[in-house]
Amino acid sequence: MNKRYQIQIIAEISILVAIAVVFDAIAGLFSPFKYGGSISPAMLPIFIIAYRRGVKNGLIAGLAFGIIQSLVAAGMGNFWFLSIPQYLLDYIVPFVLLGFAGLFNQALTKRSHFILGMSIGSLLRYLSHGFAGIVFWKDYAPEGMNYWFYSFIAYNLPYMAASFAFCLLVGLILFERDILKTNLNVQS
Amino acid sequence: MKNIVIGQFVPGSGFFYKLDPRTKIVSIVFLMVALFLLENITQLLIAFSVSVVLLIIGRLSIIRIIKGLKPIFILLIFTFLFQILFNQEGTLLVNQSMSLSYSSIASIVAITVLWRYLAHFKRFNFLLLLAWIAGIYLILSYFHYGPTFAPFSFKVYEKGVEMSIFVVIRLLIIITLSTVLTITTKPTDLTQGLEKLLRPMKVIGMNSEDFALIISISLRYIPTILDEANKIMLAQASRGADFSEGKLKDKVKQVISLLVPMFIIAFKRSEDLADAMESRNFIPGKPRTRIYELKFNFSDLMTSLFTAACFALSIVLKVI
Repeated sequence: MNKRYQIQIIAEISILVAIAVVFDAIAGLFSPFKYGGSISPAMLPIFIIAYRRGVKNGLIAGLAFGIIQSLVAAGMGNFWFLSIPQYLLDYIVPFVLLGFAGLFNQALTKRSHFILGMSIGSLLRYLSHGFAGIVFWKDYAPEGMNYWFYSFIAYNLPYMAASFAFCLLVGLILFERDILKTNLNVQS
Repeated sequence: MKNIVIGQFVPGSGFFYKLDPRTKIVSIVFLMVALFLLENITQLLIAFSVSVVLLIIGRLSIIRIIKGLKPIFILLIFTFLFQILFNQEGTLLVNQSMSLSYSSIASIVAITVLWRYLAHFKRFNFLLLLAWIAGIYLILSYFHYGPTFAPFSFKVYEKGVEMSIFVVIRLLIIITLSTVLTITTKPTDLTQGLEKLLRPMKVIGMNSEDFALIISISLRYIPTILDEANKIMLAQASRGADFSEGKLKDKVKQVISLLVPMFIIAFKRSEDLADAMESRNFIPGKPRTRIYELKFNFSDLMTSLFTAACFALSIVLKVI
């Protein structure tokens, strides 16, 4: 049955990553921010993978999401590319880090773990975006504004906080209705 | 709802379309590294003309590449201005004294309003932006009636001009190269190429084949799921949900009425997919067969040689 379990994981990651991409695209259409960053529930499917299938699969899902999402961004003409390290730190690493939400392995049964995992994942993503801002985009801070302040507070905090709150809200609804345990048969 | 465009692939039949995706990915990584080794404008201009020649050889439309540059345009202009304004080395080229006055403030406001108004027509946006910058320059330098205050001088140094051109050309080449890759390679081919290139990662426990499979399935299901989201939105709309209006609280409620069913369907669908894969005897981690196998042919060899030559040349130039 080990084979079945692995196939299940692959199928689940694929579908949930696709859902994350669709969420992101839908949210992007109503985005209030002009230059990148939107209030989007796209992190939620990645968190769910991490909760259901552990950190490793969460990281893989994050990586897949980062790659596809940057392809979609390129297709929609909203892609900011300066160099390969910048691409990694802006588009790949933040989403991979979301997978660390899975460190809380009882997240599907304990509400505190559920909330903590999401907080950790979001915090790591926020830090990564913030550092990308400091390393690659500090010249673009408005004049007279400290670039640490610009990157961590002015640019990255509003949409990250809003996205986190939104994911948490939807996530808790799914949690309360026990939807997240669907098909979660224990490895046998 | 608009369709999602994945990647920038445009069907065509130039030289770059026939290349193996692996060759393209590796070459572009090496060419970019080589680009960062270059140190002066002459070398960069040569690199720039080489990339234009590459576009002509590949019979890629330059207009399409320029269109791909659009999102980064503001960035380019900003970089240019930033370098010109703040780099103060080398000889002084322009020293224009400027100051503010009531008449100049009023006319700056006036031309800004005029610029934003004209921008609504969405034509000649770039020329308008240039005209706006030039207008501000002229107003600050010459247009003074009545008392002036806050005098300052606008200085441009030789090094500033040089650096701004340098940085902008380098950005242009980088974007052109990556656009060539994404325009001529299908997302599925890109994944397949990455899969083969990431194979050595197996050492650290990452299975590149499974990963590539995940990406291909995701890419395949995005349109399906988008369709489904559309259907659910219509279904909820027929029950009275309104996704575009209402207070924030109502909006959130309606979006949740979209997200929850999507998750439920997703779990169902992934179970079905797993059944389908299992019944076709898919075994994770085992090699799979493909209809189209990647082939390394003569043009790939030429491209690799060309890349190696560029890379070697830039190292030599750096050392000298």
